[in-house]
Amino acid sequence: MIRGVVFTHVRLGEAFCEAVESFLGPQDDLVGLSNERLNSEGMVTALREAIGEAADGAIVFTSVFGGSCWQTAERLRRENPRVRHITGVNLPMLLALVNKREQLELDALTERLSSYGRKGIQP
Amino acid sequence: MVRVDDRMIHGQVTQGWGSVLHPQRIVLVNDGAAASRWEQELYEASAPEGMNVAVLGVEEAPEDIRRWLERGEDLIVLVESPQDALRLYEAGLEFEDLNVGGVHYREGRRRILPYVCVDEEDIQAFESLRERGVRIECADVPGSERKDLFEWLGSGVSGT
Repeated sequence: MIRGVVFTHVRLGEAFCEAVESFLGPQDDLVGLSNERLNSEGMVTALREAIGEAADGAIVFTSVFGGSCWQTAERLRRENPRVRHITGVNLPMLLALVNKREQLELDALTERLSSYGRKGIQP
Repeated sequence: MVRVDDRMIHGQVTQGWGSVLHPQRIVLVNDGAAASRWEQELYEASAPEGMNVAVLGVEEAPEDIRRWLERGEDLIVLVESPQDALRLYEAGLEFEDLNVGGVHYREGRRRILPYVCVDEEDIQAFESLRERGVRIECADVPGSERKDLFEWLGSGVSGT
């Protein structure tokens, strides 16, 4: 199964995952991760561990384009060809991850989630 | 501002300090990043629109930084570690104040603030800067309590 890692600040990542589970029930392969108290190197190690083997691939979700989590995710994407990265995470995007990840392969899923996330932002 | 931050260019700098200091340029002084085109592009992409980013090695940095300062630019100069701060000073950038914004935990370091952990080598680098007259103040974000690093360290570490 394609793994989702929500990597952001304080308890936001975990809280996103809790919110997804409150809609859809308990989920495997969806984890929240915080950058709290970690330097750049520590963030790379923590994210690498959270991604794990990711035999079917993994998508890392971050909040702030250009931020420390974003940089770390870009490093891991460069290091591991099975890793994708979307920044600007929101709840519709994560709900779609859980609902679509059995049907789509990694690149198509990444594309789909990114467009779902954008649709979730409306004036 | 010259700042020690082992996350280098990130939200606390671009959003937090950026919104208070309105720098025209963020200067990352880091030999590793300066040696890699990919790292440079990563950091250039990480700054908000309208904010320039320069990635320089320690030895070459003072000359460029002085030129920008003479032009009247406001800068945030970032180094990754206390050791790099000292190297930058010794390379010829004689700053008066140093902001300590992030020296995170690793084995052998003890925590003095949620975002500052130090070992003997770190303390020595800070001591060397203090001996040269640099004021060293801890503040991760603009509104946080500001205090001299050596006050946080307590009195037991002087004379290293």
